[in-house]
Amino acid sequence: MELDATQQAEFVSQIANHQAALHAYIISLMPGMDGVDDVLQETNLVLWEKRRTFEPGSNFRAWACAIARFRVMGHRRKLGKLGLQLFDDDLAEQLAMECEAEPEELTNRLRALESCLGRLPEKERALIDFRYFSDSHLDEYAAICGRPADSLRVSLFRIRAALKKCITGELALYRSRS
Amino acid sequence: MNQRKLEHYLQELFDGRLEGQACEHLQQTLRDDPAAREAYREYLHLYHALEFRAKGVDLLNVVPMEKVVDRRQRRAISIAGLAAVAVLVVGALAMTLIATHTPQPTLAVKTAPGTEISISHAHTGEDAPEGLVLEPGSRLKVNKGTVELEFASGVRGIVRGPADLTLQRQDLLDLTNGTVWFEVPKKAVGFMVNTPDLTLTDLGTEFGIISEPNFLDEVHVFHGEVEVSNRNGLKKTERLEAGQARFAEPAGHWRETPARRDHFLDELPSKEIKPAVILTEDSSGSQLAYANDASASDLLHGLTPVTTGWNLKNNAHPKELTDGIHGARYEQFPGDAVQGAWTTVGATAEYYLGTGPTGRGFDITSIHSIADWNGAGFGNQAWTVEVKPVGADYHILHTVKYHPLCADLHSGGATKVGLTDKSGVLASGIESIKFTASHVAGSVDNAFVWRELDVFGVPTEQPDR
Repeated sequence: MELDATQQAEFVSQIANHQAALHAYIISLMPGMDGVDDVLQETNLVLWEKRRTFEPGSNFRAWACAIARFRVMGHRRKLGKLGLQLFDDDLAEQLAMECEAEPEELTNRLRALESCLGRLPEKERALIDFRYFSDSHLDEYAAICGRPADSLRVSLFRIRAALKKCITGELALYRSRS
Repeated sequence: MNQRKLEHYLQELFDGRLEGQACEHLQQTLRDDPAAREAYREYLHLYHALEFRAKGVDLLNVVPMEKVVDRRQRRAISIAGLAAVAVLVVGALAMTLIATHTPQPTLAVKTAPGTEISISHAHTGEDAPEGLVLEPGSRLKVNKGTVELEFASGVRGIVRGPADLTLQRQDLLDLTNGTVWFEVPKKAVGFMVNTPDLTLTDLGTEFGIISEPNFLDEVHVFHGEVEVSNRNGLKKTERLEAGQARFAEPAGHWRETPARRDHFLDELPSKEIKPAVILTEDSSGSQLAYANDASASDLLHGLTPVTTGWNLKNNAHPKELTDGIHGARYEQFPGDAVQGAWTTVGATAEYYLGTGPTGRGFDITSIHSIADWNGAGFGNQAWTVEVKPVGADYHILHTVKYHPLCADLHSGGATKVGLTDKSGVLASGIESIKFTASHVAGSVDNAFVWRELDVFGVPTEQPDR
C-alpha cells in the first residue's frame, strides 16, 4: 500500500538524515575504491523503491545499511573481476560492523573537522581543499606550487594524521561538556 | 606493525594506493589487532568527513533524474509517481544537506537562561532569515542577559547585555552598546568591529570591547594583536598587543587603562545571572552638596592603603579618600589646595581589612563614594571595586560609571554613589578591598576628584555548630 503524503515526507526525511551514515558505511566496505557515490545513489533509489516494506518505528539505519551492503557487494564483485585487489569479504564486513556510527557521532565528527580545519596553517588548508574540493590531480597542484607531488603526499599524510588527532581531542571535549 | 607504518598503510588504503604485500600485511594486522581496527575506524571517519564535507553540494544529486527515468522504463513504474519522488528526495536531501553542511548563517545566536533579545532584519517577508540568526543588515538588541555569537567565519563572541549591535558584513559588526568578548581564528583575521568611538581591526586574537552611551569605548587585548583607530578628532591609530587596553579619547588619542579579563565572559553562563547589587546615584550642581556625608566610622577609616598611580599635584593624596573629611573648595586652605584624591586612569587603592575578630574576615554591607569639583567634569566618577575573600583571590564586585555632570570648565557639581545588596551583604568573608579609578569623559586626563570613600560592614560570623 502506498504511503500517504505525510509518511512519504517522513520517509524522505529519514533517507536524508542517514546520508552521512550511509556514505561512511559504504566507504567502510570499499575503502579506497572508486564508485562510492554511485553506490550511494543506487542505494537511495532502492530505499525508495522498497519504502513500503520498511516498518515504521524499526531501525532505519540498520535497514538502509543492509540494502547498501548488497549494492556494495555487487560493486565489489565487478571490481574483483577487473583484477583489483580487495579486502576479503569477511574482514570487510567485520570492519563495516565495527565502524558503524550513529548520526549524532557523524555530525559531531563533521563539526570537529570544521574546527580542526580552521586551525590549520593557510598552506596546509589550501592543500586539503585542493585534494578534496578539486577534481584535478595532485601533480597539477605540485606544478602550481612548485613542490614535488611526493612531497605533497607526505604533507597530506602528516596533515591527516594531525586532523585525526585533533578530531579525537574535539570529540573528547564534546563528551565532557555533554 | 608499528603505529606509524599502520597509519601510513591506512592512508594509502583510503587513497586507493595500497597494493600487493602491503595490502596483505594490513589485512592480517586488522584481523589480529583490535587497536589496528580502531585506527582503521578513525581514518575511515576522517576520510568520510573530508569527502562528505567536500561533496556536500554534489550529493544533492544522489538521485539523478536520468537514472530515475531509466529505471522507470525498465521496471514500468509510474512516471509521474517516481519523478515526483525523485524531486521529493532531492529536495529533502537538499534541505538536510543545507541544514547540516551549509547550515551556517552568517551569524548564529545562542542565549543564556534569563536572556531577553530582539532581532530585526533588513529583509522582510519570505527573504527574512528564520530563527536565531543574523544576516548582513540584521540587528540584535539584548535587553538583558548574555548572548553567544557564532560567525560562519569561526569568530566567536559573548555579549553581555544591555547591548545593541548590527551585522554589516560577515567581517564587520557595528556595536553601539554592550560589553563583548571576541575570539577570532586565524582564518578570520581582518574581522572588524565599529563602535561610536573606534574602529577595531583584528589581527588574529582574543579581545574585549566595552561600548556604552556617555562613556569612552574601551578595547582590552588578551591574545595576539589588534589595530584600533579612533573615530574622533585626530583619529589616531594604534596597534595593541596581548595584555594592553586602551580607551578612545574624544580628541582622537588613545589612553592606557588596565587590561581586565574579568570584565568579560568567554562562555555563556549556564544559569541566569541576576544582578543583586543595588546602585543608588545622586548628583547636584552644588559642589559641596554632600559635604556632610563623609563617614569617620566605616571599615576603611584610618587604614593606610597600598596605592599606585595617583596624581599628587596641589597636595592631592589618596589618604584623603578615607579620612572621614569631605574637604574644602580649591585653595581654601593654603598649603593644601586639593583636599581630595586626584585620580588618573588606572590608579588603585588597596585596603587590608584583616581577618577580623572571628578570623573569617568581614561582611561588606554597603559602599558610598563622593566626588565633586568646581567644574570640568571632575565631579563625575568612574571606578571598579574588587574584593578578596579570606584565603582567596580578588574578584570584581561592581563597576561604577556615573557621568551626570557637564564637563565644561565652569560647571561644578557633585556626585554620590551607593552600593548595597538585595541580601543585605555585598560580599562575605572579605579580608581586602581594592578600588581602581576608571575614566570619565571630558575631564583633563579623564580624571576626577574623589572626596570620600566609605565601606561599611561587620565581622563575618562563625558558622553555627
